[in-house]
Amino acid sequence: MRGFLNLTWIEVKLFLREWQAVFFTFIFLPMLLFFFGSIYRVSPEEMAGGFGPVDYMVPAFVAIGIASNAFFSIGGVLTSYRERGIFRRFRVTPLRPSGILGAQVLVAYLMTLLSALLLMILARLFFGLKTSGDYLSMWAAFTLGSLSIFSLGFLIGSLCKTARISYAVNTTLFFPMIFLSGATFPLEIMPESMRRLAQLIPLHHVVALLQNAWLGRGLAASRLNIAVLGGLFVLCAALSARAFKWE
Amino acid sequence: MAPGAFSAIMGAESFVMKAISVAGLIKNYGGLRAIDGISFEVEPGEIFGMVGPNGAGKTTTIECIEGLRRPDGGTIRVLGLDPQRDGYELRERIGVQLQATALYERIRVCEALQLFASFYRKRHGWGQNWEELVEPLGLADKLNSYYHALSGGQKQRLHIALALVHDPKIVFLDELTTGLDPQARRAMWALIKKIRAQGKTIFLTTHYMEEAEQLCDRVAILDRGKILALDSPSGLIASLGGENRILFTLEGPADVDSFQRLPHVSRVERIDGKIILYSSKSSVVLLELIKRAESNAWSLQDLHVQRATLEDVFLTLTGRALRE
Repeated sequence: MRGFLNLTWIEVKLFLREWQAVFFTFIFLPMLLFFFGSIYRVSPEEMAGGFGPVDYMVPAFVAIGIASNAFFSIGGVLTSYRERGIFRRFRVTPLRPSGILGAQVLVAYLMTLLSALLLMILARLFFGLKTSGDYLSMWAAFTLGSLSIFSLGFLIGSLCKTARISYAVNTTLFFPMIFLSGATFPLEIMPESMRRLAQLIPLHHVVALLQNAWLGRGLAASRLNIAVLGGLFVLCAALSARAFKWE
Repeated sequence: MAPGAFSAIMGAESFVMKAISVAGLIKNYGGLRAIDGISFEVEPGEIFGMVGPNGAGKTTTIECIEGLRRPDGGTIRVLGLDPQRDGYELRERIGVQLQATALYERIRVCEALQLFASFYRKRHGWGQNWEELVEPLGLADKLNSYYHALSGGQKQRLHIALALVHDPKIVFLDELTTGLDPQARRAMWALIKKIRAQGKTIFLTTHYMEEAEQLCDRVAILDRGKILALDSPSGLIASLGGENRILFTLEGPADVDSFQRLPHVSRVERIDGKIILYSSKSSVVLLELIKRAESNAWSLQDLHVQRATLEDVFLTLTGRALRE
């Protein structure tokens, strides 16, 4: 346990020393917020239910944070640690496999959570963010969304042989995913065909789940999203368990 | 029972546990047999070396012993533990430097030491005070440096430090000095002897015969998955009739056949005016040679003796040079 906690703490420090990770997690999302927040200056009264654009935007941007940490932190780190022999070195210490991998997932989760909180505080201060969900549901939705997309990143990290390949695969998946899932641009402005395509993108279900929880639409509204994300998690975890190699 | 009887039994040699014992070890990669039924034992407190060319199976053997690879046959006991069944218990007691391993680029030396120390049950008294551990490794002024800023030799020494943080009983060093310059290599040898002096057993692999000769108490010569010979370096050289070379140059035309007739000379070679006499009794030959040089008024230039080395042993055993 001491080893696991120390490893987690070191991984947090290493995360913060990596400018790319810091940029995507703590700078990119606030940038999106200030950019889009300034474009869509619609007063809440003009929109349904009294929510303004920023109230939809923030949970969608949180989903982008989840995706960036799933692909670039978990996926990238897994491949590069394997390639560089760091996992092998840990394997000749008494540290358990669950501790080695658990630390990676925990760090990505904590960093994503921090970035979500930062985003919400900024949105509150500068754009008057309103939420009407209870905090427990929001946290549960965030956790399910994180774990399911993380498991996809974990699977890619398990399958890719080198960090170069992993980076290429992750970049190829990440950008279409954030643009086509409704995480960056609302699906409402897209044609019907694109809306149907979005249903097939896992991140779309995270966006929907988080928006439902943030806006307090109740569990029933998210049944499909929960089923898809739960299924994705089980599938990716099972495949990763077969595909993952320490070296 | 007489008071002495019990201790007499416990003190009997058969009760002294081997540091490592390997019996009939087999490891296959696909259809290829990488390790072909090797057996050996390592005594507590010795520096045991496994030498051989690249691909001989040294790393496979050391990684089976560390528990990183699962053998396809045979038994391994390390400090009485089975590396596969008692892996975690074993890892508390051994320190490992892996071949070609890396660390996080952006971790500081002191953070790496702290991190690895936290993996072990045994809490050594380092606390935050790493000087005692890293001073002999020449890393005392590098504690706050990032890993990526270290030189190749400093990285290797950090990996040794990481293998020592929990005061292990056995230290495994796989190709420790590969890639180091000769000076750094010699410094490393002195360091390993220092570690052994603390009562630790050291198991190392190398493809430098000179390194095995300088460093190891006993050496196993491994080639194509089999142990060809196992003894002390001097024993190996002696048992194979390892001959010394007497080298000199001679002014004027010399009769090579006359050297062949010297007692105890087995062979004479002549390369570019340099004459080489092979003999297992080089001092006797040397005396006789000087006597004849005096009476025949030869002028022997640049006379010196080269000892037989483990390279020669390997050449004799396999019929090929170590690095081809």
